[in-house]
Amino acid sequence: MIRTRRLMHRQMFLLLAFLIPALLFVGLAFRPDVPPVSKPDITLLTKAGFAPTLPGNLTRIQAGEQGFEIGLEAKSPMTSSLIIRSVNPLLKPDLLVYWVPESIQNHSLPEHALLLGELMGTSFRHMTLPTAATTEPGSLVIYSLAHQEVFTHFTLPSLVGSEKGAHAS
Amino acid sequence: MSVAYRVVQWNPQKRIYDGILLAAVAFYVVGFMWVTPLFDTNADPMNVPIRAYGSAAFILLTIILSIGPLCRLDSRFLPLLYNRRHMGVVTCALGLYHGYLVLNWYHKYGNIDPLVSLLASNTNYDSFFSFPFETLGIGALLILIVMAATSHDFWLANLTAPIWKALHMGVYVAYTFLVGHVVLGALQSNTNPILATFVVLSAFWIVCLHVVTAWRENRHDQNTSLDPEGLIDVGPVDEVPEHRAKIICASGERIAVFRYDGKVSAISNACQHQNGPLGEGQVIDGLVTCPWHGYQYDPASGASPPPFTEKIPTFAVFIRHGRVLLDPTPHPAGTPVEPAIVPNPSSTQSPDNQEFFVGYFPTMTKGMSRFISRRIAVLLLAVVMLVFVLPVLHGEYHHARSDFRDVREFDGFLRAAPAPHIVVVRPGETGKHAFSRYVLIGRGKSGPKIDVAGLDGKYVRVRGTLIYRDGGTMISVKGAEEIPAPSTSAKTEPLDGEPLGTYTLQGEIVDSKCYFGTMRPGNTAVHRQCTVRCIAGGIPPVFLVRDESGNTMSFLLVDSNGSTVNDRVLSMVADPLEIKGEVVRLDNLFVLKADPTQYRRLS
Ligand code: FES
Repeated sequence: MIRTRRLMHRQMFLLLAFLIPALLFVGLAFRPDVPPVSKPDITLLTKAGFAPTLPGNLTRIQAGEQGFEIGLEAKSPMTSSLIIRSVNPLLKPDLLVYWVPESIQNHSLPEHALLLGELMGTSFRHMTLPTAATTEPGSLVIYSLAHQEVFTHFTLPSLVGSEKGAHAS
Repeated sequence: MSVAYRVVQWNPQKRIYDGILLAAVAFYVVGFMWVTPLFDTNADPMNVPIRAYGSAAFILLTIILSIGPLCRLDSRFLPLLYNRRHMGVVTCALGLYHGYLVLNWYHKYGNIDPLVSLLASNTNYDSFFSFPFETLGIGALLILIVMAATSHDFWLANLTAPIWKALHMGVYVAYTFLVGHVVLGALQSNTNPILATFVVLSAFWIVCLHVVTAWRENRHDQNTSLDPEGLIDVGPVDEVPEHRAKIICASGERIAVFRYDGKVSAISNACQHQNGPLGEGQVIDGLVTCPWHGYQYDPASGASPPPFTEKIPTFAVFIRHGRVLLDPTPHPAGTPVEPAIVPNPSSTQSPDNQEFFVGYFPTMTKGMSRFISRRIAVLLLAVVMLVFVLPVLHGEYHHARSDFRDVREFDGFLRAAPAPHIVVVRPGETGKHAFSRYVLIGRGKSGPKIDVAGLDGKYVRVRGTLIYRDGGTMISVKGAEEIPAPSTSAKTEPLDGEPLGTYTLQGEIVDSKCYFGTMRPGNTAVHRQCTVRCIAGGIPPVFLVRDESGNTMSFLLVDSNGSTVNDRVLSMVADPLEIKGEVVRLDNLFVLKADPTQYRRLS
């Protein structure tokens, strides 16, 4: 190259030697969290059906390919609640959680199935179990309403004799 | 000058060079697209090629920018420089295709022309992190296009080498733009530290390489002092290697003093072709041969032999007392100057052909061949490694789906507010939340193309395809008609909503269609312009909130009166925001009512 071009190259890189590292530094060191991670709003989460506080004893249940974590709490002799989440994000639309007193045999939702709530991603969801569940564990059916099919089902661990939580089935 | 005829034509070296180049690029791009879904089954088939072509262009530009300084540091890299322009053209083609894919995916099917969308969807030029990084990519691409278009020797000859060279130094600006494009785009969305480290190291490599070379070149640019007669003492004649040159600097420019066949001549060091360093070339068949592309000049006249017309300035040289003296006054280009005769030719050294190679030579010296083959092998191995590593690092495709081929029917009540949606009865014994609500959208980046106002409150059958993620469900509507409501259903009238209270939430505005499944990823900076287009076209905006326990909630955004806010949130999408508003639950839908003027940016 002729001298003026060498000079141009040198001057450009004197500038770029500051500009490029500065761009990388600011762009990476100060990049904002999007979306930002916020503190959980316990009130909102509770009202929205999430479970912001978890029972001490969570049980992992494998239903076919799909893993769930559940916790059972007997709040009084007559009422108990279920905390449930899918371990992995579920690729099914509008997944509803139903309770049935018996274990279901075929892959359809019984008419008397009782809706407990809906799953949302991998978040823990809080659901109230019917009184009957305190004596007869029954089964949970995960039903995709938008696909109108039972996604999976499994027997609920027994609450009888357990103050703390569920046992693996 | 037979060799010079071949220099501008295809030859085996160019074919091998281009063959390896194209094979490596094709291997990388195809490999990237093939490997990605093996690692991540959620990989978006439209997004993966965008990343494959974009990353290929960035890697290739990094290699191109390394070649020049590496050649200055070690001349054995020169075979890589020979056909570098073809690499530049391939980089430009990769960048263009990357841009075409981006236009086609993020900007098509909107309410304005895709090109206008690309330029107008984000105008946050006053913000660093919200800066439209696409503009930097466009800037880099424009420079690469100009360079590719003027890369032919036709332009070089017409513009003259200094102007052409200055124009092509735009590549450094293009590279800086490209680093900005990557940092403010992909690296804002992808937070994998290893991917960021790759980019930082490559930029560091380029900057260091060029700074070191510029510093070394500067040292060689110190003027040599003149004797009282106005001549420059070049040094003892034996210091000038046979068939090679000694380079000195006079009046700021370099002069190459060649020794050949018992004679000494001096010519300008700048080749007329691309101003390559002739003094680092060699005298072959009595002609000075440029190390870059092999242009040749008669050392005594500075003229290329016929039919070539290139000419460079010549200088008078003398040999006195065994020392070479040079008159630094240049003769006009192509002026013959009598060479100085070396008084004792028996002392001539043997020609040094060891490490000199120009692309059109039939063979390469063994040492150079070994050197360059090893470097190319390392480079190709690195490409193979990148094919397996980069798709994993890119990752971050979300668990979401669009069943775009599976058209289904859904029966339920149609509601126009807060966004058009259908209210579907849940089976079984349901209690309080007896319905599921699916937001309705249209094809492309638009709201549903049905008579929403006319069907509001009616029981309808909607035909469409599902989009879903994390409990949120949407229908891309193909048609809707009123049907009789089932008489058996006791759950006939959905509630208007259950107020949950007023909350201050931090999150990001996304367009519901892309976020819930049409695109993966469907949020953050890389997706900002598409989000703007979708929301402007009628897709309901959603506020995405996640907390440190891993809970993610999405809220349909409306103002405090319950009216849509689409046009009022466009400049705030994909940024961290804080919104204080009233949350209302509609079964599985959450609505956040707040005036957009009250939204607060967090950065
Ligand atoms: S032959 Fe291209 S610069 Fe000399």
